[in-house]
Amino acid sequence: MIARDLSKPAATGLRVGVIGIAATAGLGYGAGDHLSHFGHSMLVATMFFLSICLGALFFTLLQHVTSAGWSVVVRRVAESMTGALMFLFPIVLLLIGVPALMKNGFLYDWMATDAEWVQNNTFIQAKTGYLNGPFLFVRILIYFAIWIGVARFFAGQSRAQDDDQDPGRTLKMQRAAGICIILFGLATTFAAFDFLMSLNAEWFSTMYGVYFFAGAFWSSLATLALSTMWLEKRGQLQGVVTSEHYHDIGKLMFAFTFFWSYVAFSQFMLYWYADIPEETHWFNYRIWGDWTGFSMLLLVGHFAIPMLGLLSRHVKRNRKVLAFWCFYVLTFHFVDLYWNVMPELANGLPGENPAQAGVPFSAMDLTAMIGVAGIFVFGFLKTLDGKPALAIGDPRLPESMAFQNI
Amino acid sequence: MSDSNEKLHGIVAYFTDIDGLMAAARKVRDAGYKRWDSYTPFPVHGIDEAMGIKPTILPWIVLVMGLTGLSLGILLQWYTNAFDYVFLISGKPDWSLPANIPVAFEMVIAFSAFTTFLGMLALNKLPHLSNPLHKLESFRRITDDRFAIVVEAADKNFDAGRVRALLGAASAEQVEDCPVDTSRAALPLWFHGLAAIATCLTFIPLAVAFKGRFATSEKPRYHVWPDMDWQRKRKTQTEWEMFPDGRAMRLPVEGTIAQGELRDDFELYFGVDQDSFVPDRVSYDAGAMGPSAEGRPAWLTGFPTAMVVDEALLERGQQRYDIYCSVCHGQQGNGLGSVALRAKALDAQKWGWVDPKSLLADNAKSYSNGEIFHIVSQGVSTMKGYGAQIVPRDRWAIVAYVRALQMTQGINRRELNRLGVDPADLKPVPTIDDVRVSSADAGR
Repeated sequence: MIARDLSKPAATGLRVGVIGIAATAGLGYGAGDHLSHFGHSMLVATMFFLSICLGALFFTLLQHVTSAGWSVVVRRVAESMTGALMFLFPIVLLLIGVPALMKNGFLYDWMATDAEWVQNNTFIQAKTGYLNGPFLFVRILIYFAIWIGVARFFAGQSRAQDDDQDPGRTLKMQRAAGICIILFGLATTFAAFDFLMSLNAEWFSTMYGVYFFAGAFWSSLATLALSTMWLEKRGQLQGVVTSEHYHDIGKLMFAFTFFWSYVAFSQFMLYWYADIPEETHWFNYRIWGDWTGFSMLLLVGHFAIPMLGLLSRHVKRNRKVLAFWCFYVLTFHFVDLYWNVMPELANGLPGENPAQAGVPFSAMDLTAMIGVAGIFVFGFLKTLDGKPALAIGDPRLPESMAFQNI
Repeated sequence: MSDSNEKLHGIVAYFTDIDGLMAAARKVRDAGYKRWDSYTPFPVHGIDEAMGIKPTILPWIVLVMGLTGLSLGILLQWYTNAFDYVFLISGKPDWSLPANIPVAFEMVIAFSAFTTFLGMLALNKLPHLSNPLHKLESFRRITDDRFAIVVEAADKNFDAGRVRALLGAASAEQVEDCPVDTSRAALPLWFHGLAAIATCLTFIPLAVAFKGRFATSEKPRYHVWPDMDWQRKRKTQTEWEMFPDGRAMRLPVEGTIAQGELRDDFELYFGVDQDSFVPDRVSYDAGAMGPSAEGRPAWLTGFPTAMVVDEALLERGQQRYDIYCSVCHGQQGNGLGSVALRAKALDAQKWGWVDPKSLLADNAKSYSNGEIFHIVSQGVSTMKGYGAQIVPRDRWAIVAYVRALQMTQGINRRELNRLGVDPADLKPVPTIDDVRVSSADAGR
């Protein structure tokens, strides 16, 4: 059950990652827009894989906090995914933390604190107590300290249990999971505010953290299912993970299709109903203008289609069909993040109306995704390499292996 | 073992553990029996497969009913909001999907949940009040520590001897015959009587409600909670015999003034010179205002000495003006507020609507500051007074801002000459008569 020979794909991931990000940077310099598009593309890609890592971390915490038995066979895969957080940390620091200290507004308009329009903007000025470079830098350190700390604790305990089979470790993790899930919730909520919502520093939504989390868990379940299938194909986990486990992952994915839609609609409807300009403008240039089609795509593609597609139990129990929906889910998680980030490329620029600046597709969007994907794969597989692919010391392993839905 | 004369309901086999039950269930399944069931103290995973039970059609029924709930939820809102009783609420369209979604969603949940619950009962043929198995002493243990399989005699392949042999070979702890329940099945007479009376009683509240809804009565309405309807307190503006003057409301003690009610600064509070007489709303109608009125109060032409007119005051005035005044008079002061525009779109004049005044008109400019203050406080013509909502200092701020609007929006000829601008080049500030609205805008 030891996951062997993963160092080769991991090295390939690292190579693809470095080349992909370098190519994106090259294209970014070539675009001559002060790296603005480069920054936004990189942000979409980084948030995409960061959200997958955070979803995996939440998955691990959730199993412990509910003392779930069914998931033991796939928990190690999720634990290993959180290993990629270490390697996403420097990207976030360079992309968000350093520009904040340097007062460079290439990505976040509010960071250009010396610019005249920022100084004249009442909304941004009223938030400087929170939105300022040094504090944001410290916050990034805190978020990653929490995420990486929690991830390493749970992965480490689980690994140690492989060797000593101590059921006390399960109880220890169960006790820690409660407080850790609260810390996770706080860090993820504020990270969503800082990394995504503050792209438009005038806008605010208290629901935004939940919205980001819903998409994060959704896409991470898809990644979990796909990774498990891939490991099965390589001869790991074969005969251990059954269609019962995929059925449960599929159920969660279906549930979070709905949860994401529920939260996204709640956020929209409260603003739509109150109809206050400082709240609706964020939706305004996404719904009326060049982004209309994209918004409709999100509505139908992120909600209606997967909702109907994942409804049947036969879909969730068939690996091939479920794999299709997992790829679909990942595609639309990208669409979701793109819709959140990219309209802000034109927003805030003098003389630019984001509703009429067009959907700025570029090769950079793709190369950034490929690059950060490489880094994610490297971090994920490097953590898993040479270790048991499932938590062999967990006292609930027999329960999980014999698990049946009906 | 039962008497061979008794009719057989079925044959029961008891097992001590799940594995025995599952193995036996597979054998019974493979033997081709249809009318049989397993009884366990708790849900057993995998029993559906072992018994060869086909997936239930309940999910499809729930899907259909969920979609029915969705359609009914939307239909209900369309019928009530956009068809039967169209009512404009905060400028929203009569019928729009975002507002419909919460109710439609709840209807989907309600229909699906009830269908799941009631459908489960119906498909399981529940409630089932009696079963011959309940008569068996040993069968009681299946709610505790035994597992049972019952093959019913109603199965068309049923043969008592073969079933006994099959179950006996399947490591059953005990195999037992279950006779048909021959005890009286009919409900006792008193139960029928009680049920009939209870059914009649349930009609009473309904009948009372119908009578209240459709019949007329000369008696006062029935008070369900008299202590709430007649509380032991006096309401404002009513009598109370306890006091000599018979009033429920008390006057302030002579020679005292309530906190915040001392209004000795006539300039600040009334917009007139100190110790001038103070007009009320009625005296305006009697001609106390306007340039030519006689016997008018000594209206203040400047600002009260207690007020400092500076940029901060104008900004405050603009803010208050935009909140309280601009909905009718428009942000420019030209009378093009959103209320005025909508009234025009509805052609509200036919119901007696009077367009809000343009504050840039000559007669509005001719009023003194004190008169404008008085209008803001007490109202004029169809305009309501705002004295209750806006504190006096803010009313003066509004006066200052209205003056600023008049100076900047309606530029005078001499000023234009000084600036060297030809008046013909300027577009006039639009008035309500310049606005063209179609009745289609009325719903927006």
